[in-house]
Amino acid sequence: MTHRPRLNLLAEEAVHQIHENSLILLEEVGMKIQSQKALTLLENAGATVNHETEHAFFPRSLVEEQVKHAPSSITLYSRDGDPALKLEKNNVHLNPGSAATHLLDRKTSDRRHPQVNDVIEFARVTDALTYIDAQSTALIPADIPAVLADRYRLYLILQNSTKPIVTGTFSLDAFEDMQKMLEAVVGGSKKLREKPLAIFDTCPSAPLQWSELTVHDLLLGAEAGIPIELISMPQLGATGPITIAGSLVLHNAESLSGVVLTQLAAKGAPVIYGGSPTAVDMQYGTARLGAIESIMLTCAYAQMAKYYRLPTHGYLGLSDAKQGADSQSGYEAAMGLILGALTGINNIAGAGMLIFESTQSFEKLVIDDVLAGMVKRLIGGVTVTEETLALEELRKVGTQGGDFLRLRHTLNWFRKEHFMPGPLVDRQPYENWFNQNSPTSYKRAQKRVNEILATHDVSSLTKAQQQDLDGIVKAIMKRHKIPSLPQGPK
Amino acid sequence: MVRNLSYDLVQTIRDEMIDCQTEHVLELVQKAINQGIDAATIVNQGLTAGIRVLGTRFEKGEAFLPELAVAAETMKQALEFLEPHLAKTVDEEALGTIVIGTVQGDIHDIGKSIVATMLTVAGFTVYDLGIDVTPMNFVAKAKEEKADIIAMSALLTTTMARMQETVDLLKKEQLDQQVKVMVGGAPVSQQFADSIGADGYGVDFNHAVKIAKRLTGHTDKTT
Repeated sequence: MTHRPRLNLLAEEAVHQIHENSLILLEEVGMKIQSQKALTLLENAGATVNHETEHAFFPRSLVEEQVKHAPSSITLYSRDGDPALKLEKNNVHLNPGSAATHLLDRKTSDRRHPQVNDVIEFARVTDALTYIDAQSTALIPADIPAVLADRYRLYLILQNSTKPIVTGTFSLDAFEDMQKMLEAVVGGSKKLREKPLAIFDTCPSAPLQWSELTVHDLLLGAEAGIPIELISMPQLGATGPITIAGSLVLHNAESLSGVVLTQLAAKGAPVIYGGSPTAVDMQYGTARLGAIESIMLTCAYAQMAKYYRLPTHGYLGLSDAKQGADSQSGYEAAMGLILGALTGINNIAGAGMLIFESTQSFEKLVIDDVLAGMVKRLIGGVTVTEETLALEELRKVGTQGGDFLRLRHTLNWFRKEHFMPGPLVDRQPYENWFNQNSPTSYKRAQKRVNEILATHDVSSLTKAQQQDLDGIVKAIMKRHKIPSLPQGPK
Repeated sequence: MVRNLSYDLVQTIRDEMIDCQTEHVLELVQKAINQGIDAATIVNQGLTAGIRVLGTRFEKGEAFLPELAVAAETMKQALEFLEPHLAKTVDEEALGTIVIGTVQGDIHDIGKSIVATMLTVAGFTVYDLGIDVTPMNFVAKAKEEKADIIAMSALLTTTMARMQETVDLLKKEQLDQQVKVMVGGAPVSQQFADSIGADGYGVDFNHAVKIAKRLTGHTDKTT
């Protein structure tokens, strides 16, 4: 038997209290929603709505009823149509932290704005990693017109990876463009609904608001059967109460309102209960993501999501360190990933990410891949069977000073029982390390990134896929009067 | 097309060796002998060829210690079976002959066993005397097998001193020119090796192979 270790941060009693308080908040205070379409949906379903002030009050029965319609399992597919992420139960999958405005240059380690070529390289490295299961539109390229940055990331990643993609928009006309790009690759809207290739993140604005853009995407996604990920992001002490329990009530209320909206738009629409809570740093005013309290809030809301039997997401494995391979970047990432994995969060975003979710790092990305391998091993648990108890082997070796190394039992089990991370984790003797000019974590990570970029092949899109995709991007460029883009369609 | 059956069989021995299928290897070796295949061919192109592939994979981080250990154990059993069929100088490609053991008073086996495995994989003919080996036994076996190297291991600072006795005994028997001495183990250092007059010190099992190659005149560029 294998016992899977589990972390439940909240007592059962607390889960009920959070639930009750969230419902009270939604019923009495409600949400401001900048979408007449969403307000009408709510009104028709029995909510009290003020169209003028864009305000909706959610009756308790409405919330409890609609949450039941949301599916408990969502499968994401690769570009080739193979199942890749199964977001359900306590499965754990990882993807890079998304939408960084900055990047640590992989040669100089200077902090700068990402460019189109970086987006391509980052996608290719992510594609090669074993324990990072999906892509995200991780970098915002700054060498193209800002108005197209959201869509263009997707265009580049679709050509440079086969893994599913977590993405999002920055403008109102983007969702439909991106939906078309995805349809071009998978072969139409029906196929995209059957085998979704991407998740769209939509973020309510704490406290208790939905912006026009996010609700727009949320409703379109729900209608198209494209999984929507709800990213509530209260900041402890700033846009949310300073207490973890208080911000959890807020987080849960916002998330439940999002679930209701998706289900009213399309009953049974795939929706993931996620978030990206932070804590305001009381010395610098920064938004701490690597902080233990942010991690605790994430683990706590995921427990709420599981109470509602919804697939879960969390921003974990991030660090606020300024370098991709220093001590803080490692321990903050490890804390988040271990706790998130033990909580059973299905879709963990954050690999590579630094500095208050602003800056990506190739080096941290490959290090986080190894960390991901370790935490996946952890949640694999301890297998206790007659064979693993190894009484026969213990008898065989006995007390005569023999060893277990040459036993077939060792050969049969060492790969199953032990995660082998490769040279990124330094386990060589001191003298070897010293003789190699004492390579630091940073140097080892840099080497790994270079190796991947030199050797990893990604299969190309078919000619037809490429033509359709290029056609869509050309139309977008024409609409925005942009004659050419780096690495753009010919 | 006429298939070369004996060639196929030896190839299969090699492949099963790489896959660490001990029982298959032993069965196939028996079958090969029954078919009249030359024992030296079985060893060189089957068993040794397989174990060397594993050695290369190990260097690349694709194979690991348990595979090498099981392969070495398979090799040992196969050689025991083949011994009556083999002339003494079977492996013309062997890099040299090494007698290895943990010194008297010390029963730590595993580090020494790994080194023995690695030396086998690298292409040496290795005689592992086990643990608690007296200076006399080291030297006697080295004489018997015309060994190029005596390799000694110790895990305790108290037993480390025994290494000196073997070096002295070799000198006394005037074998110190023919038989080189290499030492290793947690408390051992280059300084200690120099102080007792040993010819080489291996930091770890990979390094031990390099030292053994150097002591037998096989230059290893990476040393």
